[in-house]
Amino acid sequence: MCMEGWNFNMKKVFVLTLIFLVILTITMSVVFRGNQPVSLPNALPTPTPVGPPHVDFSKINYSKVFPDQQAAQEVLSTLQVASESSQIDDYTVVPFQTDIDQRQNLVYEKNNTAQYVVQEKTSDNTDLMVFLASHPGSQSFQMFDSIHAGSGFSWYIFPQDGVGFLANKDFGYALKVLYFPKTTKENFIQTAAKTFQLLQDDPNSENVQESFPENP
Amino acid sequence: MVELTALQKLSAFLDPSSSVAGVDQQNAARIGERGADREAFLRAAEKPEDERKAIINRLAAKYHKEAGFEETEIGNAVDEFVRNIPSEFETTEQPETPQQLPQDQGVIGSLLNKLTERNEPNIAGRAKGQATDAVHSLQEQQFLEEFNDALEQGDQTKIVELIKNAETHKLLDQQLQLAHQHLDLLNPDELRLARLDGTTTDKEGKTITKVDNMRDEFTTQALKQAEKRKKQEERELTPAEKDAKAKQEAKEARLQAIAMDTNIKDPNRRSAAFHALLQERLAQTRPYSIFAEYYDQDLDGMLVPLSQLIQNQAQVRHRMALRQRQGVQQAVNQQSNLQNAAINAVQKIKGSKSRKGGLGSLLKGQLKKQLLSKFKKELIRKGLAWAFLSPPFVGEIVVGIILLIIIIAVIVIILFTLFSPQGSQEQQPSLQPTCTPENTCEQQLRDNGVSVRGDLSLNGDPYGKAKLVYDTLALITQSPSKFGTLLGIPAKPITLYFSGSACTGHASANGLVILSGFGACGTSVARFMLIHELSHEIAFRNPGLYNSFLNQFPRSSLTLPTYNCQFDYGVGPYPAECFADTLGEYPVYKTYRNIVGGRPSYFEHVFSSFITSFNPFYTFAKNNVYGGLEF
Repeated sequence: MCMEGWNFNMKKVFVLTLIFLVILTITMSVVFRGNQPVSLPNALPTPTPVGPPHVDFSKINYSKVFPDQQAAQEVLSTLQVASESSQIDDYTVVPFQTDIDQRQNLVYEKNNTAQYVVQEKTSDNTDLMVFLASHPGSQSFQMFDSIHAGSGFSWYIFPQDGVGFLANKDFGYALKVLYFPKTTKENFIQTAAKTFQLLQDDPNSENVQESFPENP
Repeated sequence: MVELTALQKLSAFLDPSSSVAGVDQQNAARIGERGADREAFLRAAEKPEDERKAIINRLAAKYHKEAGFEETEIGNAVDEFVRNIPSEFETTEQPETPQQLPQDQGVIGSLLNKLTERNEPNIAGRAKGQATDAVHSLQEQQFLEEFNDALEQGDQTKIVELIKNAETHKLLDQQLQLAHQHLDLLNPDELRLARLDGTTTDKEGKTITKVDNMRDEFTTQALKQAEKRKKQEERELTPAEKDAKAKQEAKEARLQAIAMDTNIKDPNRRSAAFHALLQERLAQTRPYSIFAEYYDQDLDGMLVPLSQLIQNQAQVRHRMALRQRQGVQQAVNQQSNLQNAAINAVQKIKGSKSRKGGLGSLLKGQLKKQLLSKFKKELIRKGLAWAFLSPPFVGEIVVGIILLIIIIAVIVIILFTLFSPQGSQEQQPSLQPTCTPENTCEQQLRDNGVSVRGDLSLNGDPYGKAKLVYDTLALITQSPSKFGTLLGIPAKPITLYFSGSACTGHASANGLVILSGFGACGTSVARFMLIHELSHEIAFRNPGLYNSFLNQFPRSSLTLPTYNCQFDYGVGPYPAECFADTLGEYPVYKTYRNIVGGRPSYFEHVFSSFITSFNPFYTFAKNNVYGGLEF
């Protein structure tokens, strides 16, 4: 009798625990499926042309700028040439349209090799937070962009990972992601920071104030 | 390299908007410490000769070492400056500033002169602006001249060639915008109006002046408008429309009666009435009606400035129309992309139908059946089939599943709320319309998460600044506004620190807002300062909202005619400043437009056209921040 009661309770606990684990597994996989690695094709996807670019972007080698295949997959699978390329310093800059006109992803190319890729983030995200969670030991440093002074967004550069985020750190929210060949902090400051006019000091520091002096 | 005069060096040192070649821009950082002197310098040009000279000499004596010139160098330059404005400070082009009218033009001339004076930037500030513009836009001007020539000649080949040869992105953007204007017009009438300029020659070789052109064009437009209004009036009006129309007509009739009443001896009263009438018409985009009314009165003296006011209005509306058209085009492009994506997806699905176990079979529900079947077999194989087959446990299992689903749902909701980019603050500040007695304002603000520090006195009132802050916050956070919620008060505190005398402000991401000269430049300026800086805090605390602003107003389309949007940090426009000005102007636009040294020049001193000519910005603030609340 006693043994029968014990078996009955153990069965109930066993069944409920099993069901709980199954449902929890399914729910968590649905919630966090965006962060799971996906199986990738061997070759990188080819951007789709819609205009007459100066450069043959399909021949650009992206292998140096992306830290992993997943980043390349995410960026390149969405690329469509928005308009003609232009020249900035030594780079040919090819703009690729996003879902928002006038906010364009940019590929900085030289000698048929991508040197930098700037990806616009036009929707809500926690990209910096996700990156930090998946790269706990990565070293980073902060730089500033005068264009977005007073917005709470600044650059968080991970030179040894080849990636930087123009982000609000409190929320892990990114406006842009910069991909570049893995390098050192010093080299990044000497090269990429100059190309993108990034500053080491905050232009929104307290000794610069906005003016409102005229009374109607 | 151009050698700067002592006056130029002094000017560059005292004016942060200056970028005269060779002057260290770090000077701008120190401006906040000497705001009063800077103000005195900017306003010197408005003073009588002797006073102006005394001001310049005093400032030269005080700052010559820091500005990098000998004190004695200023003497000759000042004499020349006060007698005759030096050529490098002269304005070569002032499209927005009407010419001065002779005083004998009567009440209308007097009014327009008054308007001119109000819109006239002071000479020093204007000279700085020109120097800045010249440095930054020389290359653009050269291009624009060539491009405008090509436009005038209708030479599309040349236009395309110019576009292809563009050297910078900025130029390319401008070219494309101009190309859109020229090649795909939305409203030919508006464009013609916006382009009226200079002189032309008729078939008989007679020169037709700008005024003649405008007179003909505006008369045509006035007739068109009158006809359109007549058609609108012929249809049945709703009672609300009738009421609004009657009120508007009564208001205009009252203003017109005062303006035209020669028995009124106070000319200022008549001028003010005419000004108000003009603003009423402009606000209703009926400027031509004024022209038509006064056309027969032979008031040629007022035609030029009035025409320029109207032309400015037309240009602004034309630009807005083009922007709207571009927005439509963007939407069409986006839709087209979505359609292409949908077509591709359909093709992929079709392609996979032929393969066993592919996506096609998934859509038919086969995979679902297969999974269920496989799951059952697996359970039986593992010896656990009794869990589903044994009747005594069915009820317990169902209850258990429901409870677990509820628990998991609660956990997921909590996780999403905690990690949402928009934050989880839904607390609302609770502010009465005003704080009484005044000595409780500070405490009441603190209770709502806003601390005030520093000198709280204003105009003899020991709690004046705290009361002004309270009243402003109460105004903008009243229901249904979301301003307080987005700011995150009271959960995320804000500290306001009052210091100094110059009217400047600064917001930090840690919630500290420094307001210098708060209230010293008037209530409207103070309210704008406070809301502008708090709007930065909103951007810091709501990155998604700032990103939405960026999506709607990319940098190339930021056109708000306010100083912080156009000029702050040097050459502007900068999105965060335009974001803060959009939210800052919304509650005060009827009384204040943010300008410094007359910049940016615009056809009105207040900002009553914010709601019409810059409607997308107004609507962004209204819908996303103020919850539909109007002021």
